[in-house]
Amino acid sequence: MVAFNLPRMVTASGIALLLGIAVVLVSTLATVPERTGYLVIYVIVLTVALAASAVMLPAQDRAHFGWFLGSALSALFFVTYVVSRLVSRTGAPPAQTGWDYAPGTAALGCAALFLTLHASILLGANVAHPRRQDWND
Amino acid sequence: MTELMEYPAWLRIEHWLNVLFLTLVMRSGIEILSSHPKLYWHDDSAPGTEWARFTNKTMPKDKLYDTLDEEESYSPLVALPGHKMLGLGRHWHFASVMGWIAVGAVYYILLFATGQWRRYIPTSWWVFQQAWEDILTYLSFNLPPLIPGESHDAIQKLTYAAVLFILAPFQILTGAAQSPAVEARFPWFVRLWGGRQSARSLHFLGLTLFALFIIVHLAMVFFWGWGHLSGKIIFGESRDPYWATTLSMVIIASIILVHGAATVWSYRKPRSVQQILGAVVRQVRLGALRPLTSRQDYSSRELSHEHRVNGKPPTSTAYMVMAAHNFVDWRLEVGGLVERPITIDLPTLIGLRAKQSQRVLHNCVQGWSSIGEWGGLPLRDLVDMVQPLPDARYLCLLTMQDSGRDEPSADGTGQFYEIIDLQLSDDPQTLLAYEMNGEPLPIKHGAPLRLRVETQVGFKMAKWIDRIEFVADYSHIGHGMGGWREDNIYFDKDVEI
Repeated sequence: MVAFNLPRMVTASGIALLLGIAVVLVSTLATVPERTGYLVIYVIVLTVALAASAVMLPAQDRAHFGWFLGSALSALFFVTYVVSRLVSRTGAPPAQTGWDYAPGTAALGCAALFLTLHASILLGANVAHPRRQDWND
Repeated sequence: MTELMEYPAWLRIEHWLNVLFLTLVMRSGIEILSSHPKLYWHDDSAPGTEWARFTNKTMPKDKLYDTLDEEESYSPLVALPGHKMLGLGRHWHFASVMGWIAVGAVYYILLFATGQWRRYIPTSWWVFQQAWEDILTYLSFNLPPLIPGESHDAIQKLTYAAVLFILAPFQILTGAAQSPAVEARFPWFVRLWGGRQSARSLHFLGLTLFALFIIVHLAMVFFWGWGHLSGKIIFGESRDPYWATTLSMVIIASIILVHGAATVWSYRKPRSVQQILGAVVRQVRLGALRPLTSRQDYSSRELSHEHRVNGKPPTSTAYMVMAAHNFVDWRLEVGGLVERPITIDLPTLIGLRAKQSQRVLHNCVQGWSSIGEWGGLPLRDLVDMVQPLPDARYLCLLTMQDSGRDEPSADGTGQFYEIIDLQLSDDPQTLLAYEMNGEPLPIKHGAPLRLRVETQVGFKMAKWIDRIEFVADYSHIGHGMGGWREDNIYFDKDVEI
């Protein structure tokens, strides 16, 4: 019933959302007083993968894969973040616990929005570059 | 500063009136959108170029369809009244807009007269800095501090200011930019918004921003304490949270009841809605917009490649035979309250004077637009020729279209006709057109003769005309409402917007 033909805006939004998560991850890593090994590896791997999927989104031949990779990474971040808030880890730095971490909430929002945006593409309500809606009437 | 902690009575009354009118405006606006549920950025509204659509319908590629076929039927839960009642939706929209603007004007005056403007307009740059801190606080799932001595936090203050002083005027201006009379008199104003369809799209985006604001506003009230804040907006101060909550629910239920009553009234007595709301809106239209005359002159490169169309051509054998012979047998009869009734054929009509051409924007009542070049005889020349009697006040344009036979998408039957005020013939760009884009008028656009009244919405511009009658009164014609669409689908007769 509701459909939009804004492929460039959708792709730009997808890139911005993925990079939004990456920026939060990197800035968190840069500002936390204690960098645990697993956190450093998690952030680096996820950031590189997010950047790679963001690069794929505007590509002519890899956009489709980029969206699915972005969704997988967003889902991974979403679940990891929520679980990390729910599971108490004694001694973990403040940015790694509790819900009152604004950048974390913003990144969580980015991940949720990316998943929603990709779902809207799969449902046909949106379309991403390089495709266009096939509306002839 | 304590005056900003409490809410004066006028502000509380205005708040609830605003809720009523704004929601009526939004629902009726969605009804108008449903009649052409597609949004464009270009004034030609070319099929397939829409950036948003709110319909599942697809149109045939192998036969003529018109925009009535594209109309959607929305539920009354979101549209007022819903179910393809554009005419009534327009009455509700314009009457509610008038109420909303009146409420807003009083609000502005009292806001500045009483010093309450400080409630919304920041007087220090600190507010902007604090607003960012407030956003971070909300993202931390906490509530930020209120501005000392005030009833809002910084981000709330800025949001209210944006809605009151930017979004609300933006909606009024983008709405006005969709008025054919405003567009015809001030083409620069439409261009200011990027064109007619951009104005329509921006108007829709404004609607979504209002909807978003309402959702966030309700969430804020919930998180900050419904009872506490309801007390403020009902009693003026925070007291009796249980009683305030109950009363807030009663007021909201009353507003929903008004919406329900408006919907039921529209379905049960559509004619009385048309007459009562139409009478209110008509006065404002005639007072504010009727004096505007058309001064359009679009460039040839702005002409729409494919001018959209509404209404289907006559399918009678007589018309088709006439069309096959290039309308040599067609005659225009002009009569009624005139000194010199005439009957003329097409070559005579064309030869009456040098052709007048005009490149103008066409506004369909449903929302689409196109730009075309029309050539023909200024209506005032024909009026001068037949010399109306003093009693003549209206022109009834009778056409060869029978809606029941030719227009399956329309609700209603009978010969199509439209009535315009004689006064409109004075507009220099009111034309009896026999040419379009330098060619003889195409059949689908009204061949051999159609009306162009550039300050009016498209449905008034009768196509396939074969008779013009000067009358003193139209109450005895059809159902007496001033035209086929006015009679059958409750449209408004004077349609400067």
